[in-house]
Amino acid sequence: MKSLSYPIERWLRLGILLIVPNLVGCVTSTVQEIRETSTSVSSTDTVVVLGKRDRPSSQETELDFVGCVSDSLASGKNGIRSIPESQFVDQLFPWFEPRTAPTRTDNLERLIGEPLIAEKFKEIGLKYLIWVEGNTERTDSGGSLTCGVAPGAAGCFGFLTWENDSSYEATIWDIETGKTAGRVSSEASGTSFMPAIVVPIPFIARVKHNACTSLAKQISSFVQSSG
Amino acid sequence: MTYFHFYKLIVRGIYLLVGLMCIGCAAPNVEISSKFPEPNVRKAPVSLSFYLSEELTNYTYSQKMGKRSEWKIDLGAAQRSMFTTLGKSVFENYSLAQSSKDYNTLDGVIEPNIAEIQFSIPKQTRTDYFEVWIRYQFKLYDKNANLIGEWDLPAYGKARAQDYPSEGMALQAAGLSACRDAMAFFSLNFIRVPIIKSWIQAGKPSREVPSPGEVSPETA
Repeated sequence: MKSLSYPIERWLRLGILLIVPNLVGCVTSTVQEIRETSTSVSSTDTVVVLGKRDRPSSQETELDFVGCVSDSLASGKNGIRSIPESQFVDQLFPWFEPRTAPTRTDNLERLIGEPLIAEKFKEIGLKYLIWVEGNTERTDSGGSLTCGVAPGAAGCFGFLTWENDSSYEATIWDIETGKTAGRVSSEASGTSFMPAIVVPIPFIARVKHNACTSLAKQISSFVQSSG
Repeated sequence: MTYFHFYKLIVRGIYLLVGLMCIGCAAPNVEISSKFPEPNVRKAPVSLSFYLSEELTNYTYSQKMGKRSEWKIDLGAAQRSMFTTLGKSVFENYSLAQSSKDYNTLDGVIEPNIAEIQFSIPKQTRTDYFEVWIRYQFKLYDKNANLIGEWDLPAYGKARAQDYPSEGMALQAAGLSACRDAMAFFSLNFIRVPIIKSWIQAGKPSREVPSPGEVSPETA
C-alpha cells in the first residue's frame, strides 16, 4: 500500500503546484486616455508616481498599487526611469506631504518657481509627475463554506464567490511647463470563486494587478508617444 | 502515520493557532523612532537652540480601547531626531541646548512640548484609517531666558490599515506621518508665526534679566 501511495501522493503534489498558480478568475479591464499636450521622454528623464493623500477619504489609493504602477513603468524593454514614491517625498520634503502637496497645477507652477525645488527636480531629472487616484473595492460576495476537523479527518465543503472592482485615474503633470499633459484611466472588474469539496481551491481574479499593469502600460505609451 | 503522531500534529496546530491569536489580540505598544528627512526650505535669519526637556524626550501616551486593551504610543524617541533635523535646516545657526548657559551666544531658545495627543483606530471611527493628532506647544525665550511668547502647532497623520501587515505598524505609520506633518508645518511657517515675525522685525531683542513670573526653560 505504501509503495503505491507514495508516487500518487508525489504526482498529486506536483499537480497542485503546477495548477494552483494558474487558477485565476476572469478579469475585464478598460483603459482610456485624454491628451492635452504633446509628451516625450528620454533615457535620462525620470517620472514619479504619487498617490493622492491630501484628504482623508475611503477612496485613497493603496500604497502597493502606487508601487506596482511605478515598478511596472520601470520594467520591460521600453521601461522609463521611475523614482519610488517614498524616496521622492523624502528628497522633496516638506513639499509633498499630505498637507503641503500641490493639489492643482497652479500650485505646481508656484513650486517650480522655488529655486530650491527647481534645483531638486533638475537633480532628479524629473520630467513628469503622475498623480494616481482611485482604489479597488469588493462590490459583491456570496456563498458559504464550512470546514471541520476530527481525529483522522479534516475537510471543507461549500462554494464562495466575490467580485472586485478597480477604478483608477492617473493625472500626468509636465514639470517643464507646469501644466497637465493628460489623464489616463483604468477600470477593471473580476469575479473570484472558491469551490471546496474536502480541499478548497481558490480561483482568484487579480483585478488590482490587472488594473495596475494596464494603467502602467497606458501611461508608458502616453508619455513616450508625442501625440 | 500513527494515531499518536496525528494527535501530536493536531495539538501543535492548536498551540500555534492560540499563539497567533494571542499575538493578534495583544494591544500594540508602538514606538515612533525614525530618521527624518531634511526640509528643503530657505533658512530663517535667526540663531536659535532647541531645548528638549526630559518630559518631551520620554513622552509616552496610552489610550484605553474598550475594557481590556490599552494602546501605547511612544513619541519621545523621535523628538531629538525631529528637532535636530529641523534646527539644522530651518535656522541659520543652530545648536541643541543642554542647559540655559548653552544658548547665551545665540539669539534665543525654543522649547517644544507635546500639549495634547489623541489617536483613533478603525474600529472607533468606522473608517479604514488609523489617525493621530498631536498638538505641540512652542515657547520662545530670548538669550537671557526671558519668555518672548508661545504658540501652538497642530499636526495630523493617518495610515490606511490595509496598507500595513499589523495594527501596530499602521498606528506607527500614522504617528510618523503626524511627526512629519509637524515638521512640514514648522519648517514652512516658522517665520510667519506672528511672535517670531514681530521678534525678528524688532531685531531679536532680549532683556537683561528674567522678569518676575517668567521662568527659564530649564525650570519650567
